[in-house]
Amino acid sequence: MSRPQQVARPIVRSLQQSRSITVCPSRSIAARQFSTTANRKDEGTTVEQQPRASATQRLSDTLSGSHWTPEQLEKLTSHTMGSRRRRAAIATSSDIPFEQMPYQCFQEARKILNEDRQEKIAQIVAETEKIKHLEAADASTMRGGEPYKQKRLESLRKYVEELKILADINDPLVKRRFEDGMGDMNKPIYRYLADRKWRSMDYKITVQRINQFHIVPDVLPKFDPTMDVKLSFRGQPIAPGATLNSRVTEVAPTLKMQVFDAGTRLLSVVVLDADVPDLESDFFTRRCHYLATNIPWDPTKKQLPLRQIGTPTSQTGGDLAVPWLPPFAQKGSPYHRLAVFVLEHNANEKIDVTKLTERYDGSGRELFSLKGLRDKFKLKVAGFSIFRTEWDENTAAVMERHGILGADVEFKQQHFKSLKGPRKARGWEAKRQKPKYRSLWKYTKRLA
Amino acid sequence: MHLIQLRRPLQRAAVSGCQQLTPLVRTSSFTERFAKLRLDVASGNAAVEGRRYASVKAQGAYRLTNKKTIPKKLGAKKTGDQYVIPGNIIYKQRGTIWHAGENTIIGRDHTIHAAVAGYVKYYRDPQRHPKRQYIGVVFDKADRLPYPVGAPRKRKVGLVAGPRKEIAPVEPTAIGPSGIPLMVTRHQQTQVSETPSTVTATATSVEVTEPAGETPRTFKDGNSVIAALMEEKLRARKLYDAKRRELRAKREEELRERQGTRVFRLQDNYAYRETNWEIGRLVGDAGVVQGTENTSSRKRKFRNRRRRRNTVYSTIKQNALEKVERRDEYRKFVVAKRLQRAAHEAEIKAKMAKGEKVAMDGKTKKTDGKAKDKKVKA
Repeated sequence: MSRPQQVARPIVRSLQQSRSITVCPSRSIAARQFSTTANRKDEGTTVEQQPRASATQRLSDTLSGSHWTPEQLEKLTSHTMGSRRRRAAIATSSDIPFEQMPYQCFQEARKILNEDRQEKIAQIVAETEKIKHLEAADASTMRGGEPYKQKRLESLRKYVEELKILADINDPLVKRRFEDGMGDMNKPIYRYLADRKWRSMDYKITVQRINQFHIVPDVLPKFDPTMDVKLSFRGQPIAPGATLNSRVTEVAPTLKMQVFDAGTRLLSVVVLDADVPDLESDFFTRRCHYLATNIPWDPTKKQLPLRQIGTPTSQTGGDLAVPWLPPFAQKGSPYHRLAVFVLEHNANEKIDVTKLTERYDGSGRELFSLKGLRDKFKLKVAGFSIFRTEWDENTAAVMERHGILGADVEFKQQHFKSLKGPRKARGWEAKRQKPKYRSLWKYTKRLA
Repeated sequence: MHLIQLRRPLQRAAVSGCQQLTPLVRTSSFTERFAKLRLDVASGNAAVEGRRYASVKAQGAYRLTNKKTIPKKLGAKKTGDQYVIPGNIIYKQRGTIWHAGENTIIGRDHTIHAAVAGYVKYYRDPQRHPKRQYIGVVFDKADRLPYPVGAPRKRKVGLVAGPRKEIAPVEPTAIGPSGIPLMVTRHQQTQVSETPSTVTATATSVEVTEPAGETPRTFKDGNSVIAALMEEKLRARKLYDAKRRELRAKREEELRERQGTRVFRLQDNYAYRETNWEIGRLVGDAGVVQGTENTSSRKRKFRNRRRRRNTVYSTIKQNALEKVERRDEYRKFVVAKRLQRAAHEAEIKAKMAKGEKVAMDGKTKKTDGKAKDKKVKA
């Protein structure tokens, strides 16, 4: 039997079956024939019913508005793309929802998972009861007093959060929705999955950039990122640490940010150049290229276009303290590290923007200290991303457009004088310069 | 060594100490007295010791350095706190006795150079490696290495500002500085064959027969799905083949054009010549050079043909011979059969003539007849 036939066999068989048998019109026909297992009635907190439609339609419906681009969406839903196995599956399983996939093992496994879930939910209920009971109890009756009570409550709440994740972690629907980018970030399970995914690779890359570009001793003495920050210039996502053309970086980037803990918080965004050459002191200093503050943020939010902050049409909110200054590097200077930091406010307290503006705007941009900002306004550094800039063919034009001086300067390597003394002239001519060889001077003295 | 021998100096010291209590004490100074009290072996009587001194100096002092090998002159070239500039050699070594630390570079032969101007420091950094020893260069002589963990790196710009020079793009000129053209292009008329155009025509015709968009398919069962998919596959293959044919034709056309155009460039010796790479490209593009698809040699080709022919002809010959043989055999068989039948008929006739009596024991007669046949055959 050929491969596609093998693949399509169960589907074909089920379709043949469906023609001969008619049972239970109230339930979906496809689900009945494929297995003896019952439909999962309780979809739980994280499961919604999906309307019947053609497979392609349904796929495009579920995926549209998520993180797929239109091209990717088209590729995913088209009949012509993919393996013959996939195409056969898409073509013949038009009205079977994912949770009713006609595979007995799948359905049996779902049953087991559902049992486990019920168990976990019961545990959550019990623990919540315990918490309520403890909250109502008088702390003076306990041996440890109030601190003990608070500690106990805290650990119980932590356990409940853990259970919430454990209840849904094995659900194939949850997994599917997360992978399609449709997960509701208000729910702990999706936040947990997102965090796990981030830590599996992107976090590691970020940490590597922090170390290899010496962000840690140069800008901050210690730093461990807790949120995902990705950069994109002019709609193009960039790899952390990429060297970008100055024309690309002329406009402020868009940050794609994801936080993994619940609740709304206020954020500040700082972009700084960590390699500004200062020839007078012969040291590298730092310059602030952008500073925005009081940006409300929660796990459901995704994109933050920096150029929109402070404008009346801004969707995201927040105040602009220091507007975007295009990054530039004078000719001959080594690459400049442009570090993007996202800082979390302490206890959701707003920062006075005017204070920030008068402190850091204008001449205050130079000799910028992130540590100073952090300590003065009690911020916590949470997210990080980086790009680099070098002198290129567009830098002069960009600097001119934005009124930045210094495009006419070129840096050259400092020359050090040799430590050795001047060397005595050697060779045939040098030897015959003496008066002893006066007769040869006509050959030795006229040399250029 | 014997115990007595060990005791001797002590005894001697005791004896000499006793002797010095006599008038000599007044004349000699304190230092002299103490010098005599020393438990010095050399000051003792050699004869008592039972030891001989070498009358000729030991050979070790005169050991000569090996003049047959070239001295490698390894070791430290700069001491600690000494001022260095970028590129100075600080340490020459075999292997990494010292590792490159702050602001130093390690060379291919593990020589450690300074990367900045500053002061040399020899140090250990247990945070980096528990056993390694490092050489570093600091800007400030008073600094100590390693720098504290978490402190910003100390770096200097080390650049000098000057006016930026615009590098004007060099425009390619047709005439060289000596006033003669830099290159000469020679076009050669080539005969344009008809085949590529026909190939493209067939390719387009194939494309035309293809439906413009995707036709909506109605799927009824798995078999029809598979059939549709196979059809699609076949159609795709046909299209692919047509495309490949077209591409090949296009490439051939390009090659022919290139072969017709020769560019001669002015050399250093004022001669015009084609560049080597252009000559090479006359055969075909890199990677798709014509003739490379057939890896076997011409000789081998002929040999193969000969062998093939031999095998084919020998088989044909053998088959023909076998056929002839088979035919001969059959002919013989037919002749024998005819003879047998004739004999049998003759026998029956004889029987008819003699009467029915003989027919009763025809068995024996038959065997006799067979024996006769065999004799005939032999």
